[in-house]
Amino acid sequence: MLGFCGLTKRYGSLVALDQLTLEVPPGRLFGLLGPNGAGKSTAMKLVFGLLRPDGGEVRWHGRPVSQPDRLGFGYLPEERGLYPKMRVRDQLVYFGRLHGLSAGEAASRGEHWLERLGVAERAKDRAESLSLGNQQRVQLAAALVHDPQLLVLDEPFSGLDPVAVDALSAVLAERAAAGVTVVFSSHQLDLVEDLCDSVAIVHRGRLVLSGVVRDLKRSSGRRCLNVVLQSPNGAADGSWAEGVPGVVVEQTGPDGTRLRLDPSVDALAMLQRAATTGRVVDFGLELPALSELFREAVRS
Amino acid sequence: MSRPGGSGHPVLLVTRREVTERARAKSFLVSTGIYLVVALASIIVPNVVGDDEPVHRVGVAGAASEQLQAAIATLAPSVDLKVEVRRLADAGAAAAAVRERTVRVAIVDGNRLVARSDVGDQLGLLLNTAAYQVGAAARLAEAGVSPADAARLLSPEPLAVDRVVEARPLRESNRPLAFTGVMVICLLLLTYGFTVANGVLEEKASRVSEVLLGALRPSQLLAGKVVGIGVVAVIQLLMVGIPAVLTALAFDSFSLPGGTPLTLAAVLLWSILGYGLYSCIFAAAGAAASRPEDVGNATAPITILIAATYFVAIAATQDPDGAISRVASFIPPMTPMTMLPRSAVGHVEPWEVPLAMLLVLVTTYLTVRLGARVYAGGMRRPGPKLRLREVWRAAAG
Repeated sequence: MLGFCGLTKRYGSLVALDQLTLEVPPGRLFGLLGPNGAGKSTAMKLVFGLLRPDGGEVRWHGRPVSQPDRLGFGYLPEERGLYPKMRVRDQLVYFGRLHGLSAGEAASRGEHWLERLGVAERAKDRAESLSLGNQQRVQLAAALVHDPQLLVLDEPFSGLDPVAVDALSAVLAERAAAGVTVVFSSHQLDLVEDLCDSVAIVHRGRLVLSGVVRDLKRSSGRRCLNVVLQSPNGAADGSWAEGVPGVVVEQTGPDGTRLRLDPSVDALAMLQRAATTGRVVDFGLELPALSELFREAVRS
Repeated sequence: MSRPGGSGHPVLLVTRREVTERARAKSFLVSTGIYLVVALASIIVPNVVGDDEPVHRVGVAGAASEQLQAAIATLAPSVDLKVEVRRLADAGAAAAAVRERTVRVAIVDGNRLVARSDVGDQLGLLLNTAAYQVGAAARLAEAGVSPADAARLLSPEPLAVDRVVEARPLRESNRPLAFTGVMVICLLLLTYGFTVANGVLEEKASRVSEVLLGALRPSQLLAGKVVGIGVVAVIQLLMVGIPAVLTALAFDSFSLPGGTPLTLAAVLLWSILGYGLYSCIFAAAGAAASRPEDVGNATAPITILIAATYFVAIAATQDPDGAISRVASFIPPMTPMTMLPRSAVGHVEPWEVPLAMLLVLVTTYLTVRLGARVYAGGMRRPGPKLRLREVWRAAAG
């Protein structure tokens, strides 16, 4: 269990983190979300002692994080860090050994992760000769090489092609299933929604929303109703839904009308109202997307 | 699952990476090659081209030429001159030879000097003394003095010297080695100091430091880097030094003076102590910078100090027992370069070198503490160039 306990960090007059308190359970994929400058990277750096907090502490299994604990952590920093002129395989062996592996063990695990992440053929090349996407994969391999108990990844999906995104998603899910605590940040909220069990949304250094994704969506009380109408009198443009208290027409067009319903609105009554203006060809009721929860949380 | 401590001490791992990566870098091989070529050329070229010491060509013509030739040959070593004497036919031939620069100067009939311009103090003294001795010997012979008595009269015993203080001649034979040693230490401090500063900046700018500092303490990373680059420096020193010494011996460039092993040991000792003293300051300067262009500015005060010390140390090879040399050798940043010529060429009391070493070690301890703190602060604050106060604060939190 990773715990952020009342973490406060200031850069001069700028408050990057303000009493951030959060628990990340093991065996789960945990998304740390927030707009740019929210304090996500600062929180991650505090885990690794790269910054010192002005208040609070980071705890691991209930105890303040120590240097030996960190040997069992894996970190992917926001701005990638590799030795430009060092060979890829040598870097992985070096990072593995710094985390306590023997040379042979580090080499075999490094090869394993390069294979998994699709860059095995570049093992003998210098890092600077790789594309940014491939450097990203090598960086991920460096974070994984010592089989860490905690993985902290700052924007791990940025710069990756769809195939690599799938490969990394599978790796992270597998690690979480093996009991590893996985925390990552991302602005690709659809991806986070598909991948994460739990999220925390941070804004201006404060925690504004956290919990299991499914529960957050349900507890918001809001739903989206999609209706496709076939109507000879032109009412399929969404005007039939306008003026109803608690209903907002989000989108309308040839693919139908999308309505956002407040908790007080009866979805079935809205469907019946649609049926009075034309033939309902298709309809669907959805919980709000994570991106909507995010926007709402940040706006509020 | 990781096994902390299963792969050796982290400082050794960092050191090992520094040594292996730097020793196989092209820049290392190229710079070693250049140093080797320069060192060998400085030994081989003078041997091939010839002796630097000039040979003065002197002509003798007319009366007493034979006696003058003998007298000049006998007296020349006493004034430390190399002289080649040529017999010329007559006064006309002597004037022509001087005009055509076949000889620098000519003595005609034992009483006249033919020269283009100034003869030079030492050469003039030599030729006048030779002419005086030959002329005086001739007049004594005319007066009936036997050649043996004449020789005794003209070669009096030198004045006996009563020394009122103990004579302590300088060990001149060690001077070339001390001079070279000062240059080597200066070059080493600058070259490898900048290597440390740039190496630190490389890790900071490429953000590798963020990955490393998740697993290492800043002091471990700093220690590994400084020791690793120091080992590379010693390797390069040996790769250049051993062939240079062997070549010098093969060419018989210098006969090794008795103090050579001690002087070489002193060069190695002061190189290591000097590197230890300066490397952490260079590391701190690298950590405070954000781009390669900043390194020059950040290291300027250190570079100026090393350059100033170099000039003091070169002066100390000439006057190792002077007041400036003695004072400078106890100022820790100046000690590594200035104590070397003092101990190799001049005279030091038995307590002086240990005391100077102690002062250097105490100062090194302070610079390591200070440098490590600035280094830690700088590495934790990637981004624009930092002011010392910001770095200091970053180190604290």
